[in-house]
Amino acid sequence: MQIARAWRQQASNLRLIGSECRGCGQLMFPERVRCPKCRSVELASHPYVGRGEVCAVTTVYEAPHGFGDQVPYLAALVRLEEGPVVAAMLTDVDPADATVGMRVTMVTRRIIADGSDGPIVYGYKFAPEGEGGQP
Amino acid sequence: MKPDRAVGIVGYGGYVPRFRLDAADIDRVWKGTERSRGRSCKAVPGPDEDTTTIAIQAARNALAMAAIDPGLLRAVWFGTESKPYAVKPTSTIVADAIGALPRANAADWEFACKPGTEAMQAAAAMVGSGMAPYVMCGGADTAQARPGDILEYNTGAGGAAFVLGPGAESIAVLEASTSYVTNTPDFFRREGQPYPSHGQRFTGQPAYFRHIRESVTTLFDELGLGPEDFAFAVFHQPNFQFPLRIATRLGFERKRVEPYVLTNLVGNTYSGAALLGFARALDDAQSGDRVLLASYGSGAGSDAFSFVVTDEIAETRERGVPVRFYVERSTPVDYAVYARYRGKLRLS
Amino acid sequence: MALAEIVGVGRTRTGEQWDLGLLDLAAEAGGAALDEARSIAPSGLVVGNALHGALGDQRNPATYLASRLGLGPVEAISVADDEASGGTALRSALALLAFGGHEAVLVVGVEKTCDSPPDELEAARASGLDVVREGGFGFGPAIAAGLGMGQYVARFGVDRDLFYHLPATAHHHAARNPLAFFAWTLTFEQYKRSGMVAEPLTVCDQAPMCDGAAAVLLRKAGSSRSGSHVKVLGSSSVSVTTGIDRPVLDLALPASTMSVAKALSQSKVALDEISCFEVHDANSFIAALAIESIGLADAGQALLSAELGEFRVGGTYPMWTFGGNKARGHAPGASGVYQVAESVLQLRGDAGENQVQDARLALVQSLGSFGATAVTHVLGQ
Repeated sequence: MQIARAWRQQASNLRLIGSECRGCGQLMFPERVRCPKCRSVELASHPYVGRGEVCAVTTVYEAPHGFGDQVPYLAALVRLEEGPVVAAMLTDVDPADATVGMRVTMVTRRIIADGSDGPIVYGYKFAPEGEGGQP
Repeated sequence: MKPDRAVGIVGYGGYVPRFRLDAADIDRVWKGTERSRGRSCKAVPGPDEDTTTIAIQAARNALAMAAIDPGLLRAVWFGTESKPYAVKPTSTIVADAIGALPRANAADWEFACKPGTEAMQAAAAMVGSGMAPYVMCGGADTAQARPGDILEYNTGAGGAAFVLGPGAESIAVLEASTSYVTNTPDFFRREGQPYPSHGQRFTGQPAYFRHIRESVTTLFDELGLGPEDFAFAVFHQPNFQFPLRIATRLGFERKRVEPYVLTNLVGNTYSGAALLGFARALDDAQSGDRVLLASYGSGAGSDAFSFVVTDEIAETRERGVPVRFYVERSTPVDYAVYARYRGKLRLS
Repeated sequence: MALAEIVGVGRTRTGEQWDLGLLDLAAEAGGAALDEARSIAPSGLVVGNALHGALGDQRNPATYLASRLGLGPVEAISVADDEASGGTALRSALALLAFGGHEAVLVVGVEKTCDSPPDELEAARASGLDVVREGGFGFGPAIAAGLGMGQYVARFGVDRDLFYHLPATAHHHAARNPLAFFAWTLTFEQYKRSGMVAEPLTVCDQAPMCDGAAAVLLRKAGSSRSGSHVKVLGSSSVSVTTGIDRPVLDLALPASTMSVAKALSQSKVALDEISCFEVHDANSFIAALAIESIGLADAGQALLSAELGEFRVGGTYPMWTFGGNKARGHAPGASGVYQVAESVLQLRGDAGENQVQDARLALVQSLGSFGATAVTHVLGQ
C-alpha cells in the first residue's frame, strides 16, 4: 500500500480516534471531515476507549489476498461502548471461545504488511476483556 | 551512578504472547527423542504479533499503572534486536500508539539482550536531571535462532516497559546503577543475516559470567551492600542455569533468584528477559524490599541496578496488569505451527 | 408509458473462458444483440463492468468496445457500480434515451474474473466494500456473508442447512440452461460436503466467479414499428448508508425494498402481478435477505419458502429461471444484464424447459456494495 495512505490511517488505527459532531452530537469512527448526519464541519477528535461487545463473528478459512498468513482468523463486528460498530478481527482467543456478546478490548496488532519491503500496517483488533488487554 | 534527584519506577507492564512450544518438540523434530517433554517451553508470537505489538502492550500496561498523561513523557525508548523495521524506530510506533507524540524523543536502542536496561539508565538520568517529568523505557524481542541450533530451545518472545518518574511517586526508587562493558564478540549477527552466530561455550565465563560479576560487585562496592541486603535478585536469563549459577557465585540464596527466572515458562525473551523477570518480581514485591536487577548483553556488557520498593506499591500495582498473567497463560502449539508462525517456512 | 423497448439480446456462455478477453466477450454478446435487430444502429453504448481495472484489465471498456463493434462515433459510457454495474448500465442507457438525444442504445455487461488467483479476486471485490475499514482489515464480501449467515441462523432460529434450498433452486433451473456454468443439480450431500469459507458460509453458498458478457439493445419506446417487443416499464436505483454491519445486524436491505417500491410504482404494477424474478444471489445470505426485502417472503421465511418450491418454475415466485448467479455463474458486472436478457427470453416465451407459463412481467434486481445499492427494473410485454 502507498506509504502516505498507510500513514493517514495511523491515528484511527493505533488509538481508535474518531470524530464527534459539535453540531448534532453524532459519534463516528473513523475521523471524518463532515458529519454524515448533519453535514457540519465542526467536528472534534474523539478517542474511543476501546471497550466493546462482539455482535457478530465468523471464522475465516479463505482470505482475501494479503491476509492468508493469518488464516484461520476471526472476523467480527464489535459494537464499541460509545455506540459505533467496527469491523475488526478478534485475537488472543480460540474460535471455539469467540461468542456473540463477549466483552472485548482493543489491542494493537499487525493487520497487513505490504510485501517484504513496504510499510507494515499496525491497527486494532479486539481481545477478550480482562485478559491482558487494555485495563 | 546516582541521579541528583530521587528517581523511581511509577509504573511497569509486561506482555508475553499466549502460544507455547514445548522444547521437547524441538527434540522430536531434530533429534527424534521426546525425553524432556513438559520440562520447559517458550513463548511463540502469533502471526499478527511482532516486537512492536509486544512493546505497545507492555507500554500500555505500564502507562495504566503509572496513571499519568502520556503527553508528559519526554522520551519513549525501547531496546530490541528483532526490529520489524531495520530503519525506522519501533519506539516511534509505540510512542504514537500510547499518545506520547509529538513532544517525546523516541528512539530504538541496541545491545543484544540489554538495550532495555541502558534505556533505563538514560531514562533515570533524564528524570533525575530534571529534564523530564517522566520517561518510558523497555525492552522487547521476538528472537530467531537457526532451526535445530541449541539456541532454538530458548528463543522466546516478550517484553516489559517501565515509566520512570519522581521518587516521591514511585513504587520502587533507584539507589544506583553501574555498567561494565567490553568489546567481546561472544554472540552477534552480521548485517543481512537472518540468524545469529555465537561462540558456544565462549558465551559463558568470558561473557555472561564475567560482565555480570563485574557490574554487580561494583554496585555492591558503591553502595556498601552485599547479597544479604537484597530481597530478590533478577539476572539476565538466557537459560535456566546461568542466572542460578551467577547468583550462587555472587552469594545469593537460590530462593531469592529462582522464582524470577522465567526461561522455562517463556524462553529467553532477549531484550525483554531481565526486565520481564524484574517486572514479575515487582508483582510480588513488598514495601521495603531491595531488589537487584542485572542485565547482560552480548558484545558485551552488563547493567546493574538497585531499587528499593516503597509504600506505594500495593495500591499502585492494582492499576496495571500483573505480569504473571502473561507468563502463566499457555496455548500449546507444535513445531510445525511454530515454524509457520515464525516465518521459517519458505513461502516464495 | 414504457421507458424503452428491448429489441435484441445477446449472451455468451458463462464460465471459464480462457480464449476470450474482456473486450472479446463484450463484443460477442454485444454483436449478438445487434444481430437480432440489424436495422437498428445504436448511437449510444453503455458498458457495465464491476472490477474496472482493479485487476489490471481494460478500463473505459465502453470506448474500446465501440471501436471493436464498428459502431462509429457514438456516446460511450463505462459504468462501475460494483455488482450492480449491469443494472446501473441499463439505467444509464434509459437516461440516454430519455434526454441524451439517442434513439437506440446498446447495453453490455461484461466481466473477466478467471485470469486472477481467487484470493486476489476476493481482494479486488473487497475494494467494493469500505476499502479502508473493511477491505483493509481482512474483510471481503464472502466474509461479510458468513457474518450475516451466522446472525440469520441465530436470529430466526433456523437450521443452517435450510440455506441449501436457495442454491438448490438455482441449480434446478441451470440444469436446463446450456449456457450455464454449473448446469447440474445440486444434491444435499454435495452441499453438506462443501468446504468452509467463512463459518457458516461454504463454497456452495457462493455464486461461482466466472467470465461472461450479456447485452440488450434498447430502443426508445413508442416507435412507429411493431409494439411486440419486451419493454422496460420501471427503473429505480437507491443507495443507502454503507457498511457491512447494516445487512449483517439488521438482516434487511432497505435499498432493495425502496428500489422495488419505486420501480413497481413507476410501472403501475403490483408485486403479485410479476411472473418471474431475478434476485441478486451472489451468496445464500444476501439472496435470502433480498427475497425478504423485495417482499417475496416474511423476515426469516425465505428458506422455508424455497424448501416449499415457491421459487421454482411452477411455484408462486419463480426466480433464477436460467440458474441465477449461483448456477448460471456470476460475472459480477455482467450479471445485472444477464438477469435482464434472461427475463426478456422468459417474456418472449423463449425460455425452453424453464418457461414460466404466461410470463408477462418480470422484476429484476441487482445489488452492489453488499446491499448498499439496489437497482431494480420491471420488464413487461
